Amino acid sequence: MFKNVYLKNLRDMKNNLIYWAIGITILGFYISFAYNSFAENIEIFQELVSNFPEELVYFLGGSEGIDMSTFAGFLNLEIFGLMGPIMLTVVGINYGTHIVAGELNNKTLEIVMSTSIGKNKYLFQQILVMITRIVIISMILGTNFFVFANLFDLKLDLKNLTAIIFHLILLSLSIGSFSLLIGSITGNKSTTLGLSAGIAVLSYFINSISPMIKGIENLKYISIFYYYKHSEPLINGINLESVSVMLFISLLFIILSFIAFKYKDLY
Amino acid sequence: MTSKTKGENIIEVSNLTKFYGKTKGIENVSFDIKEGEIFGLMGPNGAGKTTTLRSMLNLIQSNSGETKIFSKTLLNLSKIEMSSISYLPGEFEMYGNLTGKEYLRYLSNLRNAKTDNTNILAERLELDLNKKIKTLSKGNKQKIGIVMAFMNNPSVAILDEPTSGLDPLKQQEFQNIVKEHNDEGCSILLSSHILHEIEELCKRVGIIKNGNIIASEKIIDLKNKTIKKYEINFDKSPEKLQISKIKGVSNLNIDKNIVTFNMQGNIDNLIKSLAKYKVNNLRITEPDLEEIFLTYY
Repeated sequence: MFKNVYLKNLRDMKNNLIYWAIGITILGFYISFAYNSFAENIEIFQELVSNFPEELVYFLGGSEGIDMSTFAGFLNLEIFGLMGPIMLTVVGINYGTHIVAGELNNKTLEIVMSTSIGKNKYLFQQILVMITRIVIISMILGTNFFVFANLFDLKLDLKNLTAIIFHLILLSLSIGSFSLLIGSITGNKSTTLGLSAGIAVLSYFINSISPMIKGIENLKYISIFYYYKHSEPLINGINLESVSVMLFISLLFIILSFIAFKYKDLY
Repeated sequence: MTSKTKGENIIEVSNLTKFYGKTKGIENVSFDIKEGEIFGLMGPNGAGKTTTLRSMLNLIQSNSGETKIFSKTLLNLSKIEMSSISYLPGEFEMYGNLTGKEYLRYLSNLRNAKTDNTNILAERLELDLNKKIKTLSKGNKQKIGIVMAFMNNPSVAILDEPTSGLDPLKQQEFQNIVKEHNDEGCSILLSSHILHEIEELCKRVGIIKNGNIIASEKIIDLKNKTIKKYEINFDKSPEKLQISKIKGVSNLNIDKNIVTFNMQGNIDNLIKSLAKYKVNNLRITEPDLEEIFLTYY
């Protein structure tokens, strides 16, 4: 497991991934069990949610015509509206920050970079670790709901579940790549964490608020959360446009990170 | 090890300059290290030693100047050549969640190293490699650093304050390790402010002050250029005038038959002047490196 940067860092995250898996499994069970227990009276719940103020629905990550009568609709609001994006945003920011700023902050990077590995190879392998981490945690989330849906005999379309998980992965990757870029420019862990979290929260609010205020509706297009959720992938499947935008943003931040890291003083 | 004709420059540093914003780190730093040489870089804290080493290895971007190792800039070195360079930073941390053995194996793999002396070096330094790094003392962490520097039989070792935190016995063992690797052809750049260590290991030194190299030569030449203290016990008291006429003599003091003075430069005139007298004893005190060093500051 110490053959290269990728394997070493995968090994390092082993315990952390186990804790994520336990937490997500408990969450998956709780949500599925809760939905199953009030599934018979779902009309009452749907009516309640239908009476939610529009602002609250948007804030919770929902959209117009929210449908809680199906397990997919319920998950769409409860998990993939706010909780899932928060979890995966944290995962992305944490690892994106760790790659350069975190290692510099810990004073561990200087020795690693004095070997023959080279900056590009180091960054490439660390980005692979970030992607692996994001994919594993997202897949644990998706697998959990698929398993519990079957266990409780709840209807959940695997294709659409895969679609929202794919969107979630790209959301996390975009935000993680942004953190990587900030870390590669500043080399400072607290600045990177603060700036990334701040931008992520701002981006979320822009997406939540802008559709409700006339004149700034178009601001939503600058929010990464818009591309993650506006097409409702858990209901409608993958949206290629949104996927392309998120992929483009991730790739752009990653390319800029390579450039910034090349000129970054490592001390 | 990379083959190279003995006596050729293995490291050439030319006009290396690094500014941190408007603050000068180093300016026009130039020196070279020959194959099989141990070169000392001396200077107090903040003089620019670490900046020089980091700039040499492209760990920080220098504003101008270049470093050639094996006659190539770092970017043009092959993987094998790059693997044969080891660097021990002055201030470093390791992954605390790993054991010493795991950490060293990781670095060895990153270097694509073919040889591995980890266990032998660890035994010599009485280092337990099975403990998690986070549980080790500062001295033991430094030992891991020393093992890391020499475990893959490097052709070039760049060491920044390598004995910081080591007890005197282990400092001695470190010097033995350095000498043995040097005997096997390893060229070493040793940056330190522990002058007796440099004096023990190096033949040539560079003195760095406020980011500039102010002297770069053999220790013996530095010593020859420096004032030596003389104490001569004559059979009978000599004339003051005669001694004071000798070129380079200063601080002359005659106390009955014992004459003390400082003198810089060639002693030929002194010996010829002394020939007129009967001398019972002559004592010359060579300045140590520390005294020489202090004359530059």
